[in-house]
Amino acid sequence: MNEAVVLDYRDVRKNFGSFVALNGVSIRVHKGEVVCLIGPSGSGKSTLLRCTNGLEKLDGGEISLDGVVLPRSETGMRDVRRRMGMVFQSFELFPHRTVIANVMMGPVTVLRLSRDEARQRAEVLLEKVGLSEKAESHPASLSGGQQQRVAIARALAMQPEVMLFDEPTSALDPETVGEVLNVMKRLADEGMTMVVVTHEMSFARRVANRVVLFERGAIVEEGPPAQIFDAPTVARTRDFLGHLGWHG
Amino acid sequence: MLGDLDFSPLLDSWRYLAGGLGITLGLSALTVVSSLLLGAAVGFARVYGPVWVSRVLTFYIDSMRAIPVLVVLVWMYFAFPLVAGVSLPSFWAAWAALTLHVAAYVAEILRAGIKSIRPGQVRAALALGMSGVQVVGKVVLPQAVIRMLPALGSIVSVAIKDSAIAATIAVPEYMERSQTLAGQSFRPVEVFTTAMVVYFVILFPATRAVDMLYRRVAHLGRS
Ligand SMILES: Nc1ncnc2c1ncn2[C@@H]1O[C@H](COP(=O)(O)OP(=O)(O)OP(=O)(O)O)[C@@H](O)[C@H]1O
Ligand SMILES: [Mg+2]
Repeated sequence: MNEAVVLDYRDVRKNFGSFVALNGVSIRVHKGEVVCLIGPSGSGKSTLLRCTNGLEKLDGGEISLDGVVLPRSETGMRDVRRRMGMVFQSFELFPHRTVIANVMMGPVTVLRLSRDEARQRAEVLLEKVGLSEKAESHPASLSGGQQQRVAIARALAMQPEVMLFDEPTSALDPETVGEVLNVMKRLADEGMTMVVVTHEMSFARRVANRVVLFERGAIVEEGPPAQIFDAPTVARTRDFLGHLGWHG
Repeated sequence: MLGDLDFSPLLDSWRYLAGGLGITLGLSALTVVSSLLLGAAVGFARVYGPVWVSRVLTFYIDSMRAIPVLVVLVWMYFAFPLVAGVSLPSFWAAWAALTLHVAAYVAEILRAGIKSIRPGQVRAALALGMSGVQVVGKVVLPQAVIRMLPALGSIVSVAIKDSAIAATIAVPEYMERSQTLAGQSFRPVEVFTTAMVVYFVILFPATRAVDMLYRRVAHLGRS
């Protein structure tokens, strides 16, 4: 991979009290790369994403964005967060705002764009996720899949350099999973750098450049999907995939 | 017995009673405004302030919930002047006591409202790069206020109802004037029944209106 390193995790550590959530994690994410994080519940995947944009503070190691080590101060992190989009398992749209107002929120309050500019940007993004006709609806009236697509548009409205997804389809009805994964796939095809925590192994296989298997806060194995899914070099990887019912 | 009802003293003294009602409404309105302001300040400081501030305010809130408002009122009128060296006119003593009392409930309602917003909403707002003030002002508070509407509505009725105890320190509000009129006219049944009707007629539509408003906006506060 010759592309520049966008995110560089070096020996990242995080404890909650005496519990070790991340035990020295090192990953490099290059520009345009899609890295899928998989692993059992409680293995530290969400924690790693939250450390990435400063929602959790590191206890050791460091993370760089475009070669610059992330600041530890809250105000410093604020500037970094605008350059990363984050999508949550439970959508977390703002229920008191319309769909388009949700998408405009970041540009207006954080980037200080004029309302007209922000609206134009939001309209383009809603079009892109196929929800133009829902612009004036409130989130509560949307299906889960639609809400998650709005959440993706809201994150993209900040024009981030990298997108972080934390199990974006885990809270969805099976019939709406596909529409969200399609939006993500298209984003990946456009060259967006993405870190995706997911249990959707077929998505990881189709879209990821690299798959990282986590267990107990550490990396068990990482490699291209073909290696992880078809020829894992670590027995534990085979076990984990076997549990999920994945057989090549 | 009921055939003997005579409402003429009420009709004869309607200006006197209306004046009392005006004072009741004025006192309640002032109390509502000041307790919303004080309660908001206390609630915010309790949730977002340093630990020692939060402790002090928790003590204040717990005291106000434990002490009858009548005791606060009587203390404010009879004891406060001796302690502080300034005496308050009865109207302002009543206003201060009611405000201290009601603001504690407002603070508690605000705290519960803020705490009820799930942490994911704050994370989502922070992830967009918002400042702490923006997160609270644009994401947490608007939803919390919607959820607080029913409780805040009841604060308005509490303020109006509790204002009646100002009669005990001779604030010439509606209840005090009703007592005077009942004594002079020997018509307590008519006078106090009317008082019940008057409070009901003011408060019932108000509580209904808040309920209806809440039902229309409740979905905006659900996340
Ligand atoms: N704020 C916290 N305080 C204490 N423990 C925490 C906190 N956040 C996470 N943990 C613990 O850290 C561990 C890792 O959590 P994390 O959410 O990162 O796991 P995960 O890999 O995302 O799991 P899942 O697939 O269930 O989402 C878990 O055991 C969790 O209980
Ligand atoms: Mg998780």
